[in-house]
Amino acid sequence: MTEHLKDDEAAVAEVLRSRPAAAAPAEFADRVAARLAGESGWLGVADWRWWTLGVAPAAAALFVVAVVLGAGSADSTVSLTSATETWASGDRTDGRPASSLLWKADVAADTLLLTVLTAGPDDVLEEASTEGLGGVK
Amino acid sequence: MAEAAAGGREAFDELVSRHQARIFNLARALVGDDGEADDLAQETFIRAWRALGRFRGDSAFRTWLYRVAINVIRSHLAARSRRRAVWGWWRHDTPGGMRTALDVADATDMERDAMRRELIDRALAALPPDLRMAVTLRDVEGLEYREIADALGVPIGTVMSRISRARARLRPLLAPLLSGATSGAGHHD
Repeated sequence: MTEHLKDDEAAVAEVLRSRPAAAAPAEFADRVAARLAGESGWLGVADWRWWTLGVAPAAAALFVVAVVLGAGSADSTVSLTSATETWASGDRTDGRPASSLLWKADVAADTLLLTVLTAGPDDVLEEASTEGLGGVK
Repeated sequence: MAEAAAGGREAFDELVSRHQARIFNLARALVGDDGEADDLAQETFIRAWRALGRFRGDSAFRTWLYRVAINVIRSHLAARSRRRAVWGWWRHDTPGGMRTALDVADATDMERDAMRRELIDRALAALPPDLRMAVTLRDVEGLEYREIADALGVPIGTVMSRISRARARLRPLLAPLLSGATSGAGHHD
């Protein structure tokens, strides 16, 4: 019985070994080469994996630099809590950060541009600034 | 090989030329379709190129390349299986359709080879993927048991068991060919 099974297996193996090999399509190697050339050319630069993995060290270095520099100038940053409280305090513009002009629809374009270009991060608006004069203090 | 691993494109192109026939043939036997086999063989070489730096040389390049190909084909078969589970209700393959074609008297040698290959590939397609891969690597590609174990990532005992079970299942499916087993061509080398 075992011998019979072995004979069967051997016969099947022989049939499989006799399977005519399928030839690779014409110009197969050329198409692979073209894809590889695309990978290492500008298409490779567009590969998101390159950006996520290849740029990771640079991103980590920038993060460390930002943390180190940020620790030295922490006092000069605007408190998010106080800014939010100020913005939520009503229609008064006095005391708001200059950047709050970005969210006001009725500010003239040239006033907005001038304020954004000249105001520092800690500057606050004077009452007249939203009237078109662009004053900050 | 070392030149290709160091990023030499010309050396890698040479490797593609040397191994393309066996990788395409493996894919053709495992997926049963020329177009899919073409895509999968290409994908195998692309992934091999990307991973070439991680090839440690502790196995033959051929075995390593087979392992890459098996991973690519395995993913493809799993995805195809999921697709067919959803859409297969209207699709009906006819595995026995080629049997009479083998007997056509005026078929050329090339046509007979194609028919024979088609019949064998259809029989292989009836096997679960694990059995199909093991028996294909052994009997169609001619790998050693140790190489197959390496390519499939399983112990040699598992490989031998899978091959034995695969042959037993193929026996009735290949019955039309069993009487004249040696009439066709064989391996590449």
